[in-house]
Amino acid sequence: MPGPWPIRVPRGARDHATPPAGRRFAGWFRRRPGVAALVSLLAAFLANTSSGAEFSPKDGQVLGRTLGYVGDGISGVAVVGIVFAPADPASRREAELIQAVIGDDMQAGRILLRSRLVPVAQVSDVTGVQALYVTGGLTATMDLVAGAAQRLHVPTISTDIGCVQAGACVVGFSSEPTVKIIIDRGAAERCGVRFLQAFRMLVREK
Amino acid sequence: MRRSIRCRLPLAILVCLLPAAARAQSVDYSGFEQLFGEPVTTSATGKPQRMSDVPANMEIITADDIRRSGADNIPDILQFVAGVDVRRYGYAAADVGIRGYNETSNPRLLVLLNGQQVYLDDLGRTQWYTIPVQLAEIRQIEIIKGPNTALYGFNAVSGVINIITYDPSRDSLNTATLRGGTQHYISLSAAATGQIADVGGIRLAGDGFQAQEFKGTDVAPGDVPYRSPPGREAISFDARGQASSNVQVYAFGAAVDTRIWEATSSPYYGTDYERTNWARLGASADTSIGLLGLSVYRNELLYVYNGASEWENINDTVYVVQANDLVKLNADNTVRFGLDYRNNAATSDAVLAGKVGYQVYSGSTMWDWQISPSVSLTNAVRFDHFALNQTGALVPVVGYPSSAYNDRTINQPSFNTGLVWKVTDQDTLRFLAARGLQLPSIYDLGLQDRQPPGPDGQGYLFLGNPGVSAAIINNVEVDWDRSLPALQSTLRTAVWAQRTNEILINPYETTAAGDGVLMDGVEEQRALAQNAGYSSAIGSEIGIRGHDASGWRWNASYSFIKIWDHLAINQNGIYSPQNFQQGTPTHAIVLCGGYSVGKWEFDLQTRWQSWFLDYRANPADVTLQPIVVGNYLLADARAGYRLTDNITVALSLLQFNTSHMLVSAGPPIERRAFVSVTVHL
Repeated sequence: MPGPWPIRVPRGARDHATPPAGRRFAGWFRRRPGVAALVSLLAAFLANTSSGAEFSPKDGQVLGRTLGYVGDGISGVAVVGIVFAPADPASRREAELIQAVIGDDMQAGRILLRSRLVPVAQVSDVTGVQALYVTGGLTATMDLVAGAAQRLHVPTISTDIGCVQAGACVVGFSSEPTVKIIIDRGAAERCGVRFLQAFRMLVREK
Repeated sequence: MRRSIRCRLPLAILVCLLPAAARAQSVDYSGFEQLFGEPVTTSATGKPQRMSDVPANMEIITADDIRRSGADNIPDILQFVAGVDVRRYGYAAADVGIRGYNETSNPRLLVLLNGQQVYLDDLGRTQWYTIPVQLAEIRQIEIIKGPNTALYGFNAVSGVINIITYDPSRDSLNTATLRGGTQHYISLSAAATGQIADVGGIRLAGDGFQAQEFKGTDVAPGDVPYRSPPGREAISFDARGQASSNVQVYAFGAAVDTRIWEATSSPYYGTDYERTNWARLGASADTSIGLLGLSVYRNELLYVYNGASEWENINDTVYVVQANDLVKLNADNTVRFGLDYRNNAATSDAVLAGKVGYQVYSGSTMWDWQISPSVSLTNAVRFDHFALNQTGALVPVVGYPSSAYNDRTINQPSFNTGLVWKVTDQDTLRFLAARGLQLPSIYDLGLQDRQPPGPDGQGYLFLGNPGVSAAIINNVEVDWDRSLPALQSTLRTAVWAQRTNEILINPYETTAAGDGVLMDGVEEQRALAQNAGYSSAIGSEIGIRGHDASGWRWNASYSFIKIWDHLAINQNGIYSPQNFQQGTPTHAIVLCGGYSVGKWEFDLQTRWQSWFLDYRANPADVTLQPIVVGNYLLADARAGYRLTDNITVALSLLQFNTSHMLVSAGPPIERRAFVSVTVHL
């Protein structure tokens, strides 16, 4: 998965990434490493989180349906450019996995989602996409991706919440254990992207 | 791909003038639910919110829950919700309360259909079988427990139920259901939707039923001649469309005829003949200054009551205009401003002081502050200015002068505040406080029902009191929700405390006293609407709900309520059915389960509740009789089989565990069974 992002994480975003629970009891747990390990195991089991999980069909649904609330609300075919770094095997693998999950067509609500692999070196020339999905390994070339998004007036999206927390992506999301979507208003404005207000009321903005 | 900006409907001419920078807007319930994996609602604050985020204790009954309940009416579905009390007084007569204080013609629960009031203002009540909707049209039923006056205004006291239907511009509902069963029951309902892509849609619906009333072995002989078989006929349309890329317009209209034998608030039995006409126009727009909403609706009630005690009629027409703006100011702050106007006018040949009505002007605001990613605080305040008006003849001697009506105003604030703390990904705490208001009804304010000497030799004057105040309900509550992924369930708990001041007693519910007027040589008795004191309550609910991939679903809850009345009635005998302390069941347990396998669906729902005291009026001697409704267990079941992708047949057994059961002071409720055939296209 992508990241880590070297940009300073704003305080509010950091809070989101680190649940507040347990903070008060951190000292108590530090003095009892056995209990802490047991609780961690139990919590991991109960939480069934997908931290570090690969792009799933549910992620594809969240991606496609989110695009349905861009601008005036869109429907029909939406092509996602999956931007990857060819020199980075992890980035290439991630991009190929996303393309495999989306397949030829993935119906996500009103959206018929299609994907196209976009090597980062070619992102400045890409056209005909409604979003740019940001894989890992693009930290050094994020300016190219952001420039393409601004040119195309499309959002940059990633399942790495850190990308949006760092202000590098417009949308960050996770689908497990519950759906969480974060929008960077500044990044969206820079890209000339807006979302339906009813949708904005339902997601976190920063 | 993007919709072009042009007006599509004549109705939209006005709203097309809204700022051009605006965008399409209305709440896409279906799309949002599928995106977020949970229902979305606007009923808690007026802002679209995920159910897990709302600063209110809310339950949502989905369309799937409705279908699998096997029920053919809304009260039978609601009785399996924690904290909800349903009393059935006849085949088509039921009253619903939230967190106690239920009674015949319960005035404390505000019921809405897509935000349009279907609560009837004449007596302050919900006649469930007049609601212009059929079950197949319902997307979800949103149940808010506790006062929510700051958003909805007067009468959102014990709670709010907002029935949300499918959106014909987005959801293509084409369905017909035929039911037939015991009590000579037969019903037919159908709905058809026409859509034009990217423009809008219209749904036409019609339904009706007829049946035979429960035998009513305990019915007073005097009431028997006035029993009519229950029935309903209804037609409606619902049209919604994009006037432009930024504006949605909608129109709704319905007419419903019902015949319902039931106990009124007296509680004398009689047959209510009701014709209700519903109309609504509205628009909403996503603009650069926020989500704008404008709604105008008209509800008309043409009501005739025919019972042993009397015949009466009332025509009550309500106009409501609502305008609001919902703005997300920045990442963490959302505000909503609302202005409401209500005009209510009622006339009667028999029981009103001429023409009685009122106007209410209201202003409200809501501020939702996301303090941190895990903590949000929502505050809503509202101010209502109520002005009563009256024209026509008044009862001489003991009545009120015209000035008592026309100078009467009520000015009251209300508020809702809620702090939601998502302690962990699994745990949510809610801290809630509210002040709600119950408005005196048309009867409370303007009744003048003079009855000649009856069986007890006395004449009566049932008189509304223009001086009565709004009842004030203060509520505090703490909720804890916990997601249990290992059990694929959600645990929900709530502890609450409530106090109602200035409890309203309508003229038919209060003590009568001599007023000095002689009728046939006997002093007339006058019964006057009043504020009768206060009542306090505490309660709690705990419930778990879940389902798994193998087809099982489950729902279990326990509710507890304890009430202390401090009322200036029933001190020296029973004169009023308003005895909340003994009239509310203390304990209720709900256990429900279901299983789907292949083309089959099986569901079982049970409810046990403890005893309570209810009242029945006897027209023969004009007395009020307390009836102890003992502990009871009620069980419903449904088995459904999908014949084809489009056709489902189902067998519903309601109260199958016993042939007759007393669930109120009305006649025992009979076991029901019916078969339904549903065609979906």
